Formats: sequence, C-alpha cells, structure tokens
Amino acid sequence: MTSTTLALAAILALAPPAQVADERPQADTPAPDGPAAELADLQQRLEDAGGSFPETYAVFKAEFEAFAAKYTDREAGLTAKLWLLQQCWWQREDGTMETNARKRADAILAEHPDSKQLARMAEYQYVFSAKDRTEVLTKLRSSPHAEVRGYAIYELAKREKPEARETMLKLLLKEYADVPCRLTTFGALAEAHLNPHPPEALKNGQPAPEILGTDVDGNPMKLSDYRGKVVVLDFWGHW
Amino acid sequence: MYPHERSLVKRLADEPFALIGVNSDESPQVVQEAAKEENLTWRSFFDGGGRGGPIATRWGVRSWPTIYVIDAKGVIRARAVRGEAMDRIVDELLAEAKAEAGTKRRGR
Repeated sequence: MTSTTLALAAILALAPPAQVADERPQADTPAPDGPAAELADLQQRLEDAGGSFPETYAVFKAEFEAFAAKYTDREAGLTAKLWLLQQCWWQREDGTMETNARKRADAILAEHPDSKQLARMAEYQYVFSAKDRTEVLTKLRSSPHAEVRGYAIYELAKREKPEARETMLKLLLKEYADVPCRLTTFGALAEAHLNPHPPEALKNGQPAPEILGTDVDGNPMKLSDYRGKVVVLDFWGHW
Repeated sequence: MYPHERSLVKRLADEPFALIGVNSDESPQVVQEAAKEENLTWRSFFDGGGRGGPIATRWGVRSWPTIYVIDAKGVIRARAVRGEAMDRIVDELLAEAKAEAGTKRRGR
C-alpha cells in the first residue's frame, strides 16, 4: 500500500457515518461515468422523440456524430457509432446505404477491433451489400469475444448453401451453445435452424407441434398446457 | 390488431378459449409496457428478443403477425386468418368442441 492510499484510507475511516450511509446505495447501483451518463441522456431523448425512425435520425444524427467524435476511444463512443451504422438503413432508398455502412464499419473495426459490442455489427448486417457483409462478418469471426464470433458465424451460416450452412450451425451447437445471442442462445437458434418443422407438419389437420418456452415474466410455459381449449396462436410484436 | 384481439378475448372469457402469443419484441420490458398501455391480457411465449427467434424459426414465420388456429384436440385448423374470418373459425371450433363433449357424455 502506498502512503497516498494509506492517507486516503485514514480519511475514509474518519468520514462521518452519515456520509458512508449515503455512499452505499451508489455502490449497489453505480452511477454511470461521464460518457455513459451523457449517452443515456441522449438515448432517452431519442426515445422520447419516438425512437429510431428517418425523422428522428435526421434530428439526432449530428448529436450522435458529435458524441462519437468526443468519446471516440470509449465504449460509449462505440455505442453511438454502432447506432449511426444501424441508421444507414434509412438511406437504402437513395442508394447510399451500402457505401456509408461499409465506411462506418471499417472505421469501427479499425478503432474498436476487440469490443464485445461488435456483436451489434453482426446483428446490423442488413445495411451491407452482399460482398461487404461477407467481408465484415468474416473479420468479426476473429473477435476475442464468443458473442461476436458466434453472431458472425450465425449470420454467415444463414447465407450459405445447405451443406456449409449445416456445418456452421453444428459448429454453433457444439461450441457456442450457451453463448448469449440477444435474449436467447446460439444453441437454441442453431437447433431451430437445423430442425425446423417441415411445412407439411404445419398444415391444417396436422397436430400442432409442441412449444416449450418461457413467458414474458420468465415462467415456464408450453403450448400443450392449453389442450382442451380452442387456441389462437398469434406470432406478434409491439412495433 | 389489438382492439380486435381484446374484444375476442373478452367475448370468449367464459369459453374454453385462449389467445396465446409468441412475442418477438427485443425485451420482456417492451411487452410488459405494451400490455399495460394497451390492456393486453393474454399470455405470450417470449421468443428470444427479436424476429427470427427460435420459435418463429422452427415454425417458419417470416411475417408478423402470423396466426394459427388450433382446435381443442391440439390440431391445426386454420392459418393466416384475421378479423371476422378468425372469429368465425374460432366460434365453429368452440361449437365443435362442445358438440363432441356432449356426444361423449351421452355415450357414457
């Protein structure tokens, strides 16, 4: 222990109890540091403005750019860069989406090659041309993070011919089964892609395949719990 | 979609009927907030936090919403029905289930 730390420890030991008590809740839920707090504020204002749409992109683009430049070497800066990459989607109709996306992706890959957040880049693969997509995803396969590698393999697999696709999905099942992808795992996704219900099993007159899962509150739930009732099975989302 | 689903669920509250969702939103919080705001009372599987989740993938769902109607014995009887057409098939299947239950009782 250096003398400075000792001195600090002494000061802390002498701190009045009230102050210590005040600090406790903060220790449990640490207040975000500068850039994170600033980013949270920016994201909240975007959310309040209605979320990510062409109109809000036009309004918030400059702010996200400024934030990304200000914190270019921080994780918060990268979050802003990834948002800007995703928003290239709104440029798909004027034909600039793919070139802008590649430019942004290359900058991100050069500046943050080892970030776990690059899983988002694999997720946002829809902004790239087919060629760029393969190149970017191939680069992401050498990430030090299983979440990023897994996502890259998953997105590459979906575009492969049946044989190569199966090999890659089996690789996910073998080596990335428990690695999280969004709020599921690569194991669950690979399993579903390897064993889809054949179309003829989903026709009228066929027994509905069982669904084993969890509800929105995390409680286990299965489709056969509702046997004896007429069921409307509704694949939906709030968007 | 919501008003129609709400009225169907309300109308059939005392019948052997269930509306079951498979939800592809990005987080359970989004669904919980939507349920609160829109007064959605039905239960949903949470499908992994995005379109292309494991359940939607196995079922080959590529557009949302996608509807299947399943009878009381667990057999698929209709898909891609909406609105009044959905109500009609549900009513038919409820009548069918009741008729069968009646036959069974009489046969005993």
